[in-house]
Amino acid sequence: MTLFDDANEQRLVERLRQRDERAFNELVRAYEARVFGLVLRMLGRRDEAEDVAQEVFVQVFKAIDQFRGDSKLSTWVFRITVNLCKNRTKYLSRRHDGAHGELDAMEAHAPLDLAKGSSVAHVARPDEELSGRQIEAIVQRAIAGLEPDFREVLLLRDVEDLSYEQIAEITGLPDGTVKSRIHRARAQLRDAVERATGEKIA
Amino acid sequence: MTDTPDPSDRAADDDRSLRDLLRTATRQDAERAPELLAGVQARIRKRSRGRFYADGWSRAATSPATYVITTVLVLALLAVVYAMTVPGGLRAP
Repeated sequence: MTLFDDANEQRLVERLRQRDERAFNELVRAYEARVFGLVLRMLGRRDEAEDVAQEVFVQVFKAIDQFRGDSKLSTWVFRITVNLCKNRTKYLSRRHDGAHGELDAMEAHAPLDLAKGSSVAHVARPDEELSGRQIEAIVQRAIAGLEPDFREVLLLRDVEDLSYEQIAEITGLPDGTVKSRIHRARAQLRDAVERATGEKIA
Repeated sequence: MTDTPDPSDRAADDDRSLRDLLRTATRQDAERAPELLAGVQARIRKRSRGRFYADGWSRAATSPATYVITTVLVLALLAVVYAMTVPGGLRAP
């Protein structure tokens, strides 16, 4: 996630350190979609995601003086995001509040190739569209079913497209652990989706 | 030469298929991301007890320059209307 080049990022950080509110507005607008998306996927709950995503930026505003510039600003923002998500996950699990009602309603067997309708030329028929949404629900359910430590590295790598090094910086894990967790997370996800759909992913 | 795919290639293809599925399934939710800025500003304003984001300028989506330019244009328009409608225009006592 590189939204500013190095020179612009440095200028932005300087302005943020001076508590320039307009600079902070720029930062929020630049990162809000990515941060919200990651939080939503990590928590699996839209109602909690908006609250946590807002809190990420409040923490960034409060802690910008602690950003030393050793990593990219985006990596630092993601580290805060992941930490807040972990805290919220723990809090929610203590409350036994793992609501996934929206996904339960959608889950049903549907052919896997319908979920890969990423081709612009492909226009789904209404029945295909429903099946595609069912597959999405199955995959989202499978993501939610992963252990949090596995889910976080998988999302950072395969959805956010971050490098192993960036993921290691964000999670504080050694590179080797990051790679093995991603490998195991993929295997668990594949297994869960194939069991739910009754089809092999190919 | 053999037609048998290399196992590592097959593993890479499997990973690619899984990644495509993952991205497709998670794309729509992220695209419907809400605007967070107003809520973030409100939290910071509250927690800083009004030290930050206390004024309308800093919270506005548009640049302050827009307001300044608009104000200058309106004043200029009023001056022109005054000059055209009042006998003697701006030179009137």
